[in-house]
Amino acid sequence: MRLSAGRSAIALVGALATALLVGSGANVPTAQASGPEQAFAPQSIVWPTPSDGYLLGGVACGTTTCPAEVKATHDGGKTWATAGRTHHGLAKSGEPGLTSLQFADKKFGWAYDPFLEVTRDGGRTWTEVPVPGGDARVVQLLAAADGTYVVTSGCAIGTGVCDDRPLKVWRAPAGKFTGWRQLDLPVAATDRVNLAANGSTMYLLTNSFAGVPGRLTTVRQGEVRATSPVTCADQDEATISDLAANGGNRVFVLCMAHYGQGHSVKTVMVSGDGGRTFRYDEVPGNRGLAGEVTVAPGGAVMVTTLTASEVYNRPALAKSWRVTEDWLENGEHLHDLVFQTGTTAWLVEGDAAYGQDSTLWTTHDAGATWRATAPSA
Amino acid sequence: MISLRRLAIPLALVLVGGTTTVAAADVRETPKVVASCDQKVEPGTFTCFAQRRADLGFRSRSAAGAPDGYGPDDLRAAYRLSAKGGQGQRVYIVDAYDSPTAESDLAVYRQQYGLPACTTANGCFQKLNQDGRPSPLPAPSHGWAGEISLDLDMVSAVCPQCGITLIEANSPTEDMLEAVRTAGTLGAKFVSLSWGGQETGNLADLDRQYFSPRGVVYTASTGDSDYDAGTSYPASSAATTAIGGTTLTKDDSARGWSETVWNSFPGFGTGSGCSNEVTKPSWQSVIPTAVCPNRAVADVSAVADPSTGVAVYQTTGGSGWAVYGGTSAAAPIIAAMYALAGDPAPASYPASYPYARTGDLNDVVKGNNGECTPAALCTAQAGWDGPTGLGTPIGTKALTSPAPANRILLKAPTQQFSTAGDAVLLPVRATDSGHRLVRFAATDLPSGLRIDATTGIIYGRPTQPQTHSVTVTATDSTGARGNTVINWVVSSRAGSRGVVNGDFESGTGGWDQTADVIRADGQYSNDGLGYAWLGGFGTTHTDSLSQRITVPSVGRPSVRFALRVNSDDTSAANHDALQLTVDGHAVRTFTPAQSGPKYVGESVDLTPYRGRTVTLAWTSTEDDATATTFLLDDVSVAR
Repeated sequence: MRLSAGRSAIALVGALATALLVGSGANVPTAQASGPEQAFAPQSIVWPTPSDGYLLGGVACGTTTCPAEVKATHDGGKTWATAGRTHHGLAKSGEPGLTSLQFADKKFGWAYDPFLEVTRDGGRTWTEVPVPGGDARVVQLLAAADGTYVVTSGCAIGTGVCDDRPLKVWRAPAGKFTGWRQLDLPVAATDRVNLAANGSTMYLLTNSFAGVPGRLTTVRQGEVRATSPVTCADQDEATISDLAANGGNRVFVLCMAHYGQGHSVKTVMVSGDGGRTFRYDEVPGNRGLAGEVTVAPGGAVMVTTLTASEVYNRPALAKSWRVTEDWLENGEHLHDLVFQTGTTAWLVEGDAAYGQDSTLWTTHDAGATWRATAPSA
Repeated sequence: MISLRRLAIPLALVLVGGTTTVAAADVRETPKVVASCDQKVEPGTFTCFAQRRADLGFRSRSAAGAPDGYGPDDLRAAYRLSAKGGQGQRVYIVDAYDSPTAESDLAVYRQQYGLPACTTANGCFQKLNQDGRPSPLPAPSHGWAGEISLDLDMVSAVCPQCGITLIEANSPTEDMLEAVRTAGTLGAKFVSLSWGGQETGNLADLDRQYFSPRGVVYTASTGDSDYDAGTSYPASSAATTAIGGTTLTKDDSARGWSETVWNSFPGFGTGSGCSNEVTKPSWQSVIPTAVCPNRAVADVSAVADPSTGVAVYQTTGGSGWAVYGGTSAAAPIIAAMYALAGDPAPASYPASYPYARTGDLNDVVKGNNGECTPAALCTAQAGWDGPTGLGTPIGTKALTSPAPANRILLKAPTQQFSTAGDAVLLPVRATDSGHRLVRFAATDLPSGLRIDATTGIIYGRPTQPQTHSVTVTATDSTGARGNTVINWVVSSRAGSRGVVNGDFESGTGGWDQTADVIRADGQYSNDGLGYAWLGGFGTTHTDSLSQRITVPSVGRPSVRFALRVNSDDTSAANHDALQLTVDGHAVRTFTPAQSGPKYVGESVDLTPYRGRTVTLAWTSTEDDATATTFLLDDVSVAR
């Protein structure tokens, strides 16, 4: 189960990409002051089953309005229909808004970051839910099989890291949006958090600064079972980008090292024992900063980049990586990379949440070729 | 002791991407050199002192095809060393992070120069984490991998008969000192430390915590940034022998070689100095208080100038042969020389040995690594000087313990194969040249096993399938120590049917493999987590997996295994294949036409080999068309 990038992650990678591209001559995407209106601008996509998919996006996003809509497909993406509208819209220029979508199954799902809304009828109706513990905003969320995990911050929306109060991790039972219980998990205010799950096992990966190992915590049924360090290759020059899991005790961590000027050395760390030991697979090719890693149950792996509009992919049962570099040339932020099946995957280019253009892309050959897709009826 | 250049900015040092690149600057034409490790070191952290010749790149070879840089014959000639000796000795190398290709790179170096193989399987090579276990290893590092290759190759060049244990610390912090302590726990007598950092904190406390005060050789590099950089710890430790660097040049002299202080240009040369913190050890009384009232650095030296550097083979963070220098070259060279010289007496201070045998050293009297007062701290002169210490060894006499030490030799198999749940009774024998009783201890024993401290018998029933790197240590009442390494594979019940670790649930133990064939992630296993993955590249590539087994002498023995083949091209035009050979003779070939979604049981008759010990080998070959994967699991040999 993949966790889509949240607003904080978007903001962070955006800032990082901007900082690293300055002086390189590359174009950095910027929010449009008054972009052309779009019928539907995709922002976040999720596939709770191979046939049931949900798409959060903005309708006619501009600088003053960006109402959010959830589209659904129940035939594997052949046709999409509007399921419903959330209470909050997507982010308008200078204002907060929803960024992400998660579904635990074909009925129960969440729209979140920084707000929190829930649906129990496949996206038709949405209920605004108070942020657990009275905190100010949701930072991350994972709709896992055994419950929903939410990371919250006490800092008011729009203030970033306002103080050194730690982030909090909460769990609600599966299918519930009440009964939140705080987990005894220390997460520093400045930590970046990634969540992933295998069945009833949830993994929480926190990391602070480049050069500092991350910390992987294993949670089962809401109880912390183990914590272990996660050290990237070339750790002194590296940072953790993303976390994924695809069955058993397999955990995948994406790292990048020696990053700058739109380039980085990307490594996928693979563990078969829940993060106790790792094998390090370096991704050939250093164009692009590391974005997300996604792994299909059958073992196909994909890595997005932030600045090069490239997707590195390794098919199931293959050791060699491929890179698709001729289908996107804008250097846009690629995110929400999710597998629908072992070979079909989707991603979103650009951030509708900030009034930008965004495009939905799909591959049916595990990343060898991609095409832009409009979610139509 | 006021440096005239203390405040000078070494303009020739240009930081590029976390490494220090040294560009040709003043004084004389100097080759471009890249530092393996980031030379910016915060207090409490360490950096390595390996410097690679960037102008030569990797795969640099002379016209004759030999690698550039000095090789074992050159080093032995320059320092009058014998290729023999060192049997039973083991040199410990402490570095940070992992080099996944350390062992395979070492094999290439040793084969190139005709040195005996040093592998995990034959008990010569051992790679451990800072806790003294073979797993989990630290994260890999391209930079430190160069340092690791340099260290392994230099010990091999000087002492080809020595065993080598590489201890990899989790990070270049106090973890490295933890690794030093682990070396002591393992019974190390010779430890090479090609790294250092600023003198900060209570160094006497660090010495007490992490170093054995007597009877253990620790050779520590003095650094690569000249006198101006200040003394480097642990070179300035009272427990270590501080190793400086020279420029080693072949010439027509009687020796055939000459040496000067290594100083390529300001800010790039061997380190030296007078410690601000560490008390002067008694054996340095020959160094006048006016020169240095405290611990003076260095004690001895060896080649370190990248311009006259050494050949190194490196594929992690590199792609073949390279030429390295830096005082990181000198520390393992001297450590290996100490090993050739024999055991240090348990009550002795090995750093003191050369001070008693100055006649057995090449006194380096030319060159400097800066400007300072008093000059001896940075300028070569007769007798002791900072950059080169007392000089470079002539043979091993200067590094030989003046007091005799008992020599303890242990006898045990280098490989041990057990099955989880089965009884184990393995005697380890020790001989003490002083005819004393010894007490045994062991590290990383399989869970369920114990060693009897008096008899050395290892006994019990191992409980978990895993591969261990057991170090058995014997100590007598004088403090003399000896040790031996056993690569111990505990197979599961299912994995021990006629083979070792046939289900690959015990790591890589029992098998010879090309890089990264055996996996433990469970992604494509038949059952459990372990499996072997040959091919799958889609490029011209060969993978292999082999094990030496004894074929039952009765019945109709066969090798059985689960195989899954996967390829997008199952036509006859796809020539990828997996071949099973017995002692090199092909007995079965598998092709992409056998592709399928699941493992299939295979059986190959071994009747012609009944009663013989043979090598079973699976070898995959791929061309550059479609990728073909061959997955192997649950290997057994049955009657």
